[in-house]
Amino acid sequence: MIVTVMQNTWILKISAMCVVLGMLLAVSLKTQQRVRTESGIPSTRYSDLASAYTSTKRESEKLRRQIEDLQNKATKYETELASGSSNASTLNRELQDSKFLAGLIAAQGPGIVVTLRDSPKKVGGTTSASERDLFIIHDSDLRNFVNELNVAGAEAISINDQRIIARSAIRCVGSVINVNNVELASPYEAKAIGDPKTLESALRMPGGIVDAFPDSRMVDIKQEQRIVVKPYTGSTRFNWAKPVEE
Amino acid sequence: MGWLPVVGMAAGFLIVYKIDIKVPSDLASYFSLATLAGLDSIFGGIRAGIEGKFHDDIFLSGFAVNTLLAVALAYLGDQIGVDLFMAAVVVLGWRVFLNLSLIRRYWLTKAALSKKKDRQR
Repeated sequence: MIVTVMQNTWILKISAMCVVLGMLLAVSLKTQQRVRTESGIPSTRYSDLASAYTSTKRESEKLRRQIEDLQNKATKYETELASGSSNASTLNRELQDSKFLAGLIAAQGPGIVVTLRDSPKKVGGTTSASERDLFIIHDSDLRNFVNELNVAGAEAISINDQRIIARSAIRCVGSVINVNNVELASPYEAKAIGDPKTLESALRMPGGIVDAFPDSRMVDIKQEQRIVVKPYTGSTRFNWAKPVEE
Repeated sequence: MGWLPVVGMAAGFLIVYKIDIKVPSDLASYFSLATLAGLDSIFGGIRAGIEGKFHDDIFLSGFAVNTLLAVALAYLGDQIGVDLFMAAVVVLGWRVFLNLSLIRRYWLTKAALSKKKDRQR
């Protein structure tokens, strides 16, 4: 080696700091390993991910709007085609009614608009996690509202303009709620067409669904004379089920 | 005695590697930068030691200040929208390579000189 340790103690001091360096190395290595297993890329590449995600999201928004346009056009063409003969127009009438029943056509009528939002209250640090959960809107809350509205006779329901149809799923993905596989963010605006008074009183039943919330600011119900509920724009493919031939 | 720093690094590494440490993912890149700053300080210290110009206070303060400063600058850069992280990586990396090449040169020169001395005896 270059010089004996007797003359120079700097090697000792360097070694001491090397211990610190070793610790830093270990932390960095472990964190990067974890980051890589969680997201598949090192943390220096996160900015690339972000721009890819936003552009994909914008793309999918555009496509969803296109679906709505094309569905409207399809309805128009079906009606025009059928305008010739009376048989065809009867069949077309049935077709449009079935589409309406399935939620593929926008619906309008009187009803209520329910706005659900997380409580603005700052819940203290001493409350348990399950208590704090009460102040947030969950997917289960949305499902209960949809069920209650259906019981009260709602004929068309949408949450943040996602139409609820027979196959619609409402589920929790991390901190956002997915309806029809579309990410929705708070506040959640549910529109329901039906008798406004019946719908609101069903929700406001004592001991009912609105009462279950600890903070009354989480729910807001408004009766309206004309609500437009947008059509379902998701997939209409059946991969498994086939109609039974009578 | 040249192996002592390596032993030290291995010791520090093993101590922390065994612990289940949880650093939030958004701080991950800052820790990497701190590691690079530490590496730069170590090599700077080794070079100073070889040149005979090692000073305790400069080395110790250099390690602490460089590490914290690099992370602070990177964080500031994130806030104002300038990629200072990359600037820190470039500068520290450059200094690491520079110090390494100087260390190598000193080591080889000393090795050659001591060989000459041995032959002269």
